[in-house]
Amino acid sequence: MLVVTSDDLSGYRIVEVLGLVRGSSIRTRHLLADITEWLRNLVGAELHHYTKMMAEAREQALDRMVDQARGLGADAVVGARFATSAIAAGASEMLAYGTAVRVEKI
Amino acid sequence: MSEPDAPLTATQMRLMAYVDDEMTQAERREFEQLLTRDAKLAAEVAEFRCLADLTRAVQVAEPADHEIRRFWEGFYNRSEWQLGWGLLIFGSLIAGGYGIYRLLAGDLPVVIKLASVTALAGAAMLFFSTLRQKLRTQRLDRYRGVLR
Repeated sequence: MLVVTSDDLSGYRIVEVLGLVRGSSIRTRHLLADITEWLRNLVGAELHHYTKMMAEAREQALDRMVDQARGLGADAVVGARFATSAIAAGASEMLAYGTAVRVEKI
Repeated sequence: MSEPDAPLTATQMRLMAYVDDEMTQAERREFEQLLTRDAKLAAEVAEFRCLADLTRAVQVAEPADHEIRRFWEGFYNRSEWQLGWGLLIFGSLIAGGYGIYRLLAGDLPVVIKLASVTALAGAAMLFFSTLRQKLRTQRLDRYRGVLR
């Protein structure tokens, strides 16, 4: 499954647009990780637990979007984007969305 | 003092351009003809290809990751962190236990004491239930290995 941020695919022609596909994931860290990150916040550093949390959420959201596209019979997702928002303290939502399309080689 | 690297020869420059696919079609044809005549050069190309594949396959660790690993290898650093956590958890348990003791030993009406103990027991049960759910599903979480 090709997932691209552009509106078209070089070397391919879009033959059918199947509609919006999306996947989201909300993840959080445990209390001990929150305490560790709070300590790092005091001195300034990369917040490894939160980096990992966002990366996990991103990959899961992407997989869910791709699963939905595959379910529609798509070959590719064009115009893929990520959006994020804070749901609660220490928890964040990652949303992946794009347009599922069927393509053929030119 | 180490010797400075010898400058690359014209053949070596061409060899690298060939391996990195930076030649025009005409240059490429000419170089491939040369390879058929020069076995030593062909062997050198094969060696360079192996090196290029190896370089592409190697994932360079970020310097900060390397330094953090080294940090945690130090006995003092590990002990400091573990002792800090130990003291924090121990102190919190003592303070929490004392709080519960004061609640039960105080002059509050029995109903309030009973309600507090019931609420605490409920919270503890919910916490352990959530923890068990987490432990049961944790091994199935395929995103656990994602780092960044």
